[in-house]
Amino acid sequence: MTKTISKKALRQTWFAWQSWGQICYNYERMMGLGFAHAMSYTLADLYPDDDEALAAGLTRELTYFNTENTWGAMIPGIVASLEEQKANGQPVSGDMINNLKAALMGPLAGIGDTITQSLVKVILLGIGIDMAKSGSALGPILFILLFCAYALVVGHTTFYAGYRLGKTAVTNLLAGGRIARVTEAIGALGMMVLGALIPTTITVTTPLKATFGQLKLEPQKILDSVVPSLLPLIAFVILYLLLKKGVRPTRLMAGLIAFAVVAGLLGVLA
Amino acid sequence: MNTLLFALIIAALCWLTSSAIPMWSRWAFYFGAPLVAGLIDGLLLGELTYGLQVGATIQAAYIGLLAIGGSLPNEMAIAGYLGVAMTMLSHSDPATGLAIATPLGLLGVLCLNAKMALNPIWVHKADTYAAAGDIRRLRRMNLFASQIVPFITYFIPAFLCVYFGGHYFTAFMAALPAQITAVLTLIGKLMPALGLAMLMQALAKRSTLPFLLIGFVLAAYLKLNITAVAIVGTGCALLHYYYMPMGGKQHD
Repeated sequence: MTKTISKKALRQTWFAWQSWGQICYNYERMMGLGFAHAMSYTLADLYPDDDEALAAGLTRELTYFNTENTWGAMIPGIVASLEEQKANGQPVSGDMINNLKAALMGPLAGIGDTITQSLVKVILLGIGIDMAKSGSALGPILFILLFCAYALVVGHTTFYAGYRLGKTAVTNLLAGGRIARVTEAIGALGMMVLGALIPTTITVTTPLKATFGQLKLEPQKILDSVVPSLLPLIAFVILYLLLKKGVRPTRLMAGLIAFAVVAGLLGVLA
Repeated sequence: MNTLLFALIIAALCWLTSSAIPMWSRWAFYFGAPLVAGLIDGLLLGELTYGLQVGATIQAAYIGLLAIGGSLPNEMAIAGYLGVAMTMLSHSDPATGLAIATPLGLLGVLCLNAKMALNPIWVHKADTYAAAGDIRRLRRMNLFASQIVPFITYFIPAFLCVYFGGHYFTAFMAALPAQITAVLTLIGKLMPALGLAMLMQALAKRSTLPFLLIGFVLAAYLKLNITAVAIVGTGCALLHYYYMPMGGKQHD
């Protein structure tokens, strides 16, 4: 009789992964214990009265593991399908499962970190900050609801895709450059929001004023007539070029603070 | 609001959002900590508009911050829930809030590192339970034992900071000369530039560079808000997708 993971156990595996996958995050095995916790529902379902196989399975899944939680949910999905095949006596070895996890966690973290952190997070935060600045409590509330919904929907989709498609899941995802096209298109949206964030979040101006007889000079007004938010744009471009040259962010932060102290005390910028 | 109760809630928020609540909600409560703190701290202190502005201002500096491989240069929960609380308790200007939140967030990295360094204790215990096939104890290690270190490193310092530090901090901020406050405010205004530059580094691609210029013009000249820009951006992203050569390869 072939064993199939029950719907309930599969759902528990998914939910435990998305909820508790990195609750015991640590330098030694990162999300390893969370992965074993998630897999424990699947394993308990596959080996209800085989303690030895259960123990072996739990030990197998308690290794180093680190990925991005939402897109990386595909991996516990794939592993669940492999554990199911293994329980049915198919030639799936523990090494194979471990190698697969190690091979997939990096690429999926790459996709996930880019989409979740540098695109979705930035866009939702941009909207939330905008609304909150104008005094609307809806800003943070919408941010919370939309980000949670994003995490659950993407995680659910990738987990079940991983389970259904098994090993071929990621190959399919990466095949035909579809994910590259989608990432590129979302990147366009990300860049546009980034462009809009420059004048709205960097609010530095110059308070300098000079009078020559009748002539009153206000540098900020002149700057505004050239390009509005020119100073924020210059600050952004300089910092980006320095980062690109390889200057470390912590150094730049120290430099920025030193610069602000000088410029602030001289009254050049405010 | 009662100081003891307020300190307990802020401390619990620092601990829970950094370490305990389900990951699918931590994306919002942790990475958006200052923004969410603006709402919660604002409600607790009965100054919602002020809270929202402090939260939004601090959050703007962190918008480009990325945790790649799980490491962050600043602890978001501490910078957010504690930073907004301390700013509000001292009645500081929202722009000064960042100068209060950033040093707290830097100290917070210690809380995070302590957790990451000590949690392997429970993983090793879990190894023993796994070998015995003891699922219940293994889950207990993951869910509950993992909370011992964060409770000590997050909850206790945050509580002490708000409960005992709030009073002194208010006096300290009030005694600062105007020039120092001006410098702190300037730091807060410049810091977002670094965050955005880091974000640019993650996103930069020659093929999507034109959209940066469009976004800048929409906000700087046309004064559109971010929601409007995001809608235009979605339209442009779809066009970009439809007119892209198959395979997604662009000229760069």
